[in-house]
Amino acid sequence: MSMQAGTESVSELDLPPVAAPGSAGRGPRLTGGRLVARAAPLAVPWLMLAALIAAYSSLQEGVLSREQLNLWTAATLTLLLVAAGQTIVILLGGIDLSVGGIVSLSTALAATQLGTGGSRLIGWAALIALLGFAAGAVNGFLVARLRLQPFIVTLATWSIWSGVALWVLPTEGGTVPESYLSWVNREALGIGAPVAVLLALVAFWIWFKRTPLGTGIRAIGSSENSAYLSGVPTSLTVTAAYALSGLFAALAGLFLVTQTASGSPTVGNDFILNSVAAVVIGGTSLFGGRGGLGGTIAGAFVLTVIGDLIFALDISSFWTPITTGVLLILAVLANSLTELYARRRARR
Amino acid sequence: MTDSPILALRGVSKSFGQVHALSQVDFHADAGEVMALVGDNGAGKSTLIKSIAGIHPIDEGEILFEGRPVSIGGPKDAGRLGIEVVYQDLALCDNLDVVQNMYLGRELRDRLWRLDEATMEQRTRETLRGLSVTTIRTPRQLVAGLSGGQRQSVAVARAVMWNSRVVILDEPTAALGVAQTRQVLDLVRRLAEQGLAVVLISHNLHDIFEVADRITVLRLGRSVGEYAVAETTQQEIVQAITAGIPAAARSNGEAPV
Repeated sequence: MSMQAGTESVSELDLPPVAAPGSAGRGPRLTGGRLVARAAPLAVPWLMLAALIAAYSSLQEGVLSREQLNLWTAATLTLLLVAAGQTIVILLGGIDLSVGGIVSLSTALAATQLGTGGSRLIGWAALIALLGFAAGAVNGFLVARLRLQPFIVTLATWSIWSGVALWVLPTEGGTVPESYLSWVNREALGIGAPVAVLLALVAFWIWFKRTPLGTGIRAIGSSENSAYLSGVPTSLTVTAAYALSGLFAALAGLFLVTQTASGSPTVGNDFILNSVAAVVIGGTSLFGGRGGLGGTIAGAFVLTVIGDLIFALDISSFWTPITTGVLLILAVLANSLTELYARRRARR
Repeated sequence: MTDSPILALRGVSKSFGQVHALSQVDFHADAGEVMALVGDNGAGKSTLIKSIAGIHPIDEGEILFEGRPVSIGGPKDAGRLGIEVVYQDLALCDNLDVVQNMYLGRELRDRLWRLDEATMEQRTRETLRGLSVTTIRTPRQLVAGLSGGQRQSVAVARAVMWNSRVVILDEPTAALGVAQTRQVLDLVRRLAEQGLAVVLISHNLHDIFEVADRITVLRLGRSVGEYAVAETTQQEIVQAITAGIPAAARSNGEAPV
């Protein structure tokens, strides 16, 4: 305690420790320019989403309704769950391509193993989530301990889990018990189950980003060496981040089967690059360290709303990927500009 | 020399393949003193501090902490003993604020496993104030927005916040301007006055003669000798660094007065 005591006695002698104004609050205090600087990266994806929704509601009736919110959330939630995991890994400075294989395997197992309900259903659903977590932990181990490139590691495990998914369920099909499908259709106060899951995800993130693990992930994304030298358990943190990504991918698969009522050994592949797109549109830097789920939510919804907007405009559907690509470039451009602006503000 | 230094190295050797980075090095750091560690590039200064920090485990010899032999397997072990290293690149994370950097890897938690922001912020303020660091206006600033001197202050403050006994500073003024160098040297002196053992690595003899009490000279991985600042000159140190003339030679009247 020598130094601590020394420090305190000095401050007591010279300057009595004043209770810092406002320090009683839980989160960091932010004022004026600094708040603007930190909120700026979030503004881009949410403004983009607002513009798309505004455009859509000029073409359609009843867009700003609970029904539409429920519909869009149900259509987006699979991607959003995958993208939530992807956000964590990208914040770390990594990437997770294996989510495609994990989503596929998760739907394949759900469509073949959930049975008719009861305890078998609950047991297998938990096991599928656990398998996703374990599959992610394997990625993390290979990246953190064996120092392999995350791109290659997760490309390889994507291939492996896709193969296992084909083994479990060779073609699209299988059945999902009615008792499992029904939970998605439940509503309370006009809020559907998918929206409830979304809110739970938001609550998770608000908690998670303030945990030592959340801080450690952002620290590693900034500089793994600095984080290690500061005493962050880097191997454990990296492994945990990939494990969470695997878990979210498995949960995404468990949700996806409620929408399709069947499994598919290849359905996950659509979510690999779309999850990265949602994260990047959401303002998270691919170099790691900057961003979060707040932007990713907007990014994922942007991808859903674009599709609906193109449909409502009654133009060919090939415009959807083209528009997505253009928005992706605009988002990256806007994010690098706001980052520049944020840095200038932070210096003042 | 004090009877029992806080940190002592006895006959420490470290090789990287065929390269003998350190051979039979003796070194010590005492409470309330600034020990400077000097030597040319490749003399083994960095290897020595990385051995103390547990990044490079030593091949031979022993490390004594308060007289007891210890084995240090990584930065966490060193931190647990009360040895903190401020690296040349400072090991700060730009995207986190000052408080988060101060507590990185050792966060205080509340019941829900979240960071205890209020306490962390309060202690950060107290530590900065205790070191008379007045240049950082708010500890909620991102480190990316700090100047070189401010960053150095944060890194030093972080090192002393943890009941540290020994603080090792690797080239703390190398990247700083005149006024900022002044601030950091004052800070180094204050650490020693508060009873810490300070190890200062620097190429700047002028700085060393200003703040250090003793100087250990390394040359080609061996310790040339230890000099009391009050009884030596810059020329003597330069000769020791470049030619390896040991302290004993002084008694032969070779060194200028």
